[in-house]
Amino acid sequence: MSTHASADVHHHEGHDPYLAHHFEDRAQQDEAHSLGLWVFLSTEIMFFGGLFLAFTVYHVLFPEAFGLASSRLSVSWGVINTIVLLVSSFTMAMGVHSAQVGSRKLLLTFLSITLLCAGAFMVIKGIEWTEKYHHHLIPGASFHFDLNDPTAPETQLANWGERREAILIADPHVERHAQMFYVMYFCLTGLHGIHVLIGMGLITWMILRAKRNEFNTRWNTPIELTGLYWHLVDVIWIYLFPLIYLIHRH
Amino acid sequence: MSDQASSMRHTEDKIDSTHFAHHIISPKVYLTVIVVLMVLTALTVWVAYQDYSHAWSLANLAIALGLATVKATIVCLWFMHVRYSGRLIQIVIAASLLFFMLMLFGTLMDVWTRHNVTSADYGSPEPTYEQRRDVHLPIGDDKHSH
Repeated sequence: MSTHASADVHHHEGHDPYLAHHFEDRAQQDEAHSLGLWVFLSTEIMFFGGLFLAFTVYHVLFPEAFGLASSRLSVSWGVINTIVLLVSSFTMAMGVHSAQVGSRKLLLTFLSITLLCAGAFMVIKGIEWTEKYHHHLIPGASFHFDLNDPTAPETQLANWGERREAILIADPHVERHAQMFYVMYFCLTGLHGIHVLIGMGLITWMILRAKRNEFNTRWNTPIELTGLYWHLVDVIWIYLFPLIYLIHRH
Repeated sequence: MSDQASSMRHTEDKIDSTHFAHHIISPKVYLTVIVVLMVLTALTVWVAYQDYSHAWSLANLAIALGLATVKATIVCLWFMHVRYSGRLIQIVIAASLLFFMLMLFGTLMDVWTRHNVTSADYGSPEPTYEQRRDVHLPIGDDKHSH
């Protein structure tokens, strides 16, 4: 009690129930909370950074194989998932805004839409991964990448015969090296997918807490920090999408 | 108890919004941001199908990464409120990006400047024309299989 009393003397006449006693004021407390999460997000950047680096190195080593393997991904699913995730980022930002202005109803609506978008993203990822499974594109013993497959998108090209010759001269083991693209594809989208699932867990938790009326105009830090995490998941996808779906499309 | 409750109410009146680090951004700004992000996504897909490789072999990749960086920066500045964050948070972000760039730069300097590593046929002797045509060669047995 004495600490509270002295804090009151130093700063406010009253005591803010949402201010922890080891902080000077709300501005300092809020910045400390954000800073803590940003330090975590920095470790996430380095975490994904290692995979992005590995992807880049193998892309430099096997450009033909990466171009071919990437062309077997569905750009339309990639675009739809990008839109879904961008929309979810927008609704998350609107959720944080609703919490800041104290609208519990809007907060719950926006969090629910965000959760729905995250679920849709994972369902689409599931459809894509299943497709890869049926086409024997999961790395491992049953991996099979065939330049002579008449159903593959690249063999539909008008000048495929010429291109095929050029590719095989540049990289005779292109079919084997294509497997490396799928190793990187599943590691990157898999790790990103795990982050989406964790995000869904956090958003669900926030929905439950908002239902218990835990947030108001003066206390919404958990919503804001969940938002920061969710936006990072979106930022990572912003880089993943062109790198894995759009390389060598021209 | 009643004393405590009245002092709480008293407190709420006393604390004004200037004590909060949050900067409340208008929904109009968020709406503008999402529209810009959608337009940039459409642009990213469109340029991926244009061929700029005659100018520079990495032009398409550079444009795609450039657009992604613009999108990521917009998300950070407005959705993640970095535009309104304190200097300390901005330094943490800049530092993490700097170290990521260092890691990328250092490694690629090595990979790009080794001719034998950038060759797709790393470690094996130059294949003959017949061998090049036969893509079903077993791994590492290029010399002996024919």
